[in-house]
Amino acid sequence: MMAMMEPAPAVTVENLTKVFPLPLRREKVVAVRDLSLTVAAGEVYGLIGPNGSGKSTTMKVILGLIKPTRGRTAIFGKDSREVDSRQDVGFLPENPYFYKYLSGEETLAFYGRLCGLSGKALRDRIQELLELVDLTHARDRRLGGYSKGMLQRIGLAQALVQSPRLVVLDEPTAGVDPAGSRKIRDLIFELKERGISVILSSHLLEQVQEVCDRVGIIFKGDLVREGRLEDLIAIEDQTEIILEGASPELIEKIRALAAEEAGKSGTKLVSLGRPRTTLERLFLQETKGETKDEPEKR
Amino acid sequence: MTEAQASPSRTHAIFSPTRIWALARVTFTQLVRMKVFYFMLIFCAVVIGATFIFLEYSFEEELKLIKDVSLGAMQLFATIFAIVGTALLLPRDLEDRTLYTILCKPVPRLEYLLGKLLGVLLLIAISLVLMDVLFTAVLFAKQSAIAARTEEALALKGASELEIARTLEIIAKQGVTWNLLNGVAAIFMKSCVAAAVALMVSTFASSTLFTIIVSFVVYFVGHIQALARDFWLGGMITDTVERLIAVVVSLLFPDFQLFNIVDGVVAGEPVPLLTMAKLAGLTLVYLAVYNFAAFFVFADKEL
Amino acid sequence: MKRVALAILTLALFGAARLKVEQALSEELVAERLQLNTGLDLSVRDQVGQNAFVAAFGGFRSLMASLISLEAYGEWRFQNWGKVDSLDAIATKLMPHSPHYWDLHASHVGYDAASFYLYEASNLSKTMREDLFAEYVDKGQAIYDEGLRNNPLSWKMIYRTMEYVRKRRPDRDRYISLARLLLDNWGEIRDDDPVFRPTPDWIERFLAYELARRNGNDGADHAEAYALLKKRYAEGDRQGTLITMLNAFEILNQVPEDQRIPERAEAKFLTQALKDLRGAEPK
Repeated sequence: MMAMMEPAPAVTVENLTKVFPLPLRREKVVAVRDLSLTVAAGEVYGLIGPNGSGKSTTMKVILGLIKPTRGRTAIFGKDSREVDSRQDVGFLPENPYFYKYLSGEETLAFYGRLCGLSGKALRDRIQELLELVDLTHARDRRLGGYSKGMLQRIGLAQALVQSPRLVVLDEPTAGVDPAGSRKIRDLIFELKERGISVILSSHLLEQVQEVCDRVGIIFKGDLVREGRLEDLIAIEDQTEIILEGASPELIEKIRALAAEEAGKSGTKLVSLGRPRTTLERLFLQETKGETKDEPEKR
Repeated sequence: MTEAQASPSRTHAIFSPTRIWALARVTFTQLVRMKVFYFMLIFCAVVIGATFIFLEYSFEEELKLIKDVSLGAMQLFATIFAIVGTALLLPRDLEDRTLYTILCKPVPRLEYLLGKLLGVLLLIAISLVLMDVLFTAVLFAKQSAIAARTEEALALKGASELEIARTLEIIAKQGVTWNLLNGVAAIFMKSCVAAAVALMVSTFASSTLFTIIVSFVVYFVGHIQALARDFWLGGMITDTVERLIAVVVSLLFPDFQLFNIVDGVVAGEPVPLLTMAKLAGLTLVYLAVYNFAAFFVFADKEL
Repeated sequence: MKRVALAILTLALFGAARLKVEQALSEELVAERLQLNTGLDLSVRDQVGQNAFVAAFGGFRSLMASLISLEAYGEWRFQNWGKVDSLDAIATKLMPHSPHYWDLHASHVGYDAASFYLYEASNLSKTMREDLFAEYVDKGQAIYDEGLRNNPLSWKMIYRTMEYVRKRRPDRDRYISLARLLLDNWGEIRDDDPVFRPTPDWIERFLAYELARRNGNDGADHAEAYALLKKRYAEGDRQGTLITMLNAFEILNQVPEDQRIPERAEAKFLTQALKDLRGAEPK
């Protein structure tokens, strides 16, 4: 059914270079250098790299907020410089502040109107989004009284208001506590299930690891590595065995077996002990039931 | 079927009044909820305070004082709203990254500018209407009191019916008239131009403070632009540097003095409809050109 | 930056395009008395100070005038005439099209201050008081004249000046010319005075009296005065002084008894009137 026509990739970046001139000086700053990448429709793509590596610049060019010095970017085949291309994209900037005198509902109504929604369609969509980001209870509260996590979620709802096929998230969990962060992660999974393409930037590798199909690593304006997540992080020659309820004797047996093999084939026991839960998981486990905002989804 | 496949490629209007209106409404709501309307309390105090000034020798002066104070306060508030209100809009949206979320929607940058400006103008217009209603009520009350007092005094003096009627008619002429609305309309037009100046400056300014200062400078220099123009066109200057200054001021600054018909209106000079129409037309031209210049700079701005 | 430069160029082109249009509109507003010629007389700046000057340019001229006038009123109550004079002068400079301020200034100076120096300044010598009186009365006249120059067809301006040259600083020639000015331009006179404005008949009658008392131009004044009085009488005017004047002219001109008006003025008034008319004969 989909074979009739090859769908345009969600994002195309071709040989993008962005140079910022420094005011009153001769030197220039190269933020992004000859970068190319493609995000397929329905894919979750993670851009990772340290602060100031060019992640935000790349996203801004994709969104048409700044113009490329060289190269081009497109969203579903439409050049980013055209207003039209924004029809299919939603954006959540890093640490967004919306009009704090508006309520959550008014905020979504505003962005909906900008996208040409109105009347019942708009009201239904707002209701749907408030439910999605779990803010129905705060719909009439002004954003000035929202917590950071709630702001991030209303920001995500705002990005989704016109049902775009692509969502761009810049550091979506920056400054958000683990519960909020997890909630946002869940939302990203939900988007993926609905077939919405996502491109997100982060310097939190763990988070990227959890949700992304593919990642690109940017360093000093260059795309240094790119590929499928499993391919990038799998360590080919290691195997992990996790046992539950194993007796000390069994463990001792395995250790001995490994030591025995070591002499023949070069096998080496790298580590043995209790698997550590991630700090994030531990925190969530311990605070379960206390954070009211935490949905029991996954 | 997934949502992504279900969403069809939507058609996009190149210019949409609905979007501009949505932006204007939000800007207006935002300003209202910042409690700017508290200024009305000051206005009430000033206008009502002016009615308590009694002058034994001239009711004319008493009425004039109310008109002067009210229209003066209207002009002051309208100007401050126009410049400060507008100057706050762009930098704040940029700082809070709200601008990103707006421009990432299918909103052309021109529409963004127009919507913001319209929001401020809406606020100024509504403020002026409120102030005008209060001012008219106060003026009418004072005028009625003066008429009653004068009628009594004249009757005591044994003045003729004709004389009394004539005097009352003259008092009415100094009180509430339709002509006063022309003055208020001119104040609005002037603040429209001032707001457009502030918006234009804010597209290339680096800070809110810069925008406010530059806009106020333009505002004040704009009041003596006519002077520079007269000097230049009248060939009254021989010094090259002075001449250059006169030319620059004449060409770059708006002529705000043209909108100052309030003084004449208070003095009771009728404003011909054609004059009002010309001023309105001029205001629209200013808005168009300044918005174009603002867009021209803003369209290329790296956010 | 290139765009900013282009935007400024656009503004300059726009400036050039609107130059003539705005100049014309500005002149129109001046003609409609809604504005003053090229803003404000720059000399005001020295008097009102820089801040007030800026405010005046910013469209607060009328308000400034009101406030300054209010201040003058305060000084007037304490009889600080020098201060009253200078404050009133600023008000007239700010609102030269408002006869009200001219009249206020002139009457403060010409009536109030002048009388104060003549009757109340007991610490001064009599000669000095009389000199000051004359000086202030002249000053009042000068202010009325200036006000008239700025408001040539204002009823209030003309009427108040006529009163001044009749009562305060008698000048018959001036009175007559002002009365003629009123009558000749009756249709265009601006009615800006809250005081009862009389009909032209009233002006005609007073013009006739003053012409009769002057009688310059080889008797032409008397002829005109008599004609005007007869016209007023024919139109039904039976005012006392009118009758007296008519009686006197009929005697002077030796009008046959049967052609004279039937009314007769009191003898003492008639004697005085005859004295006035005869005394007015050119020397």
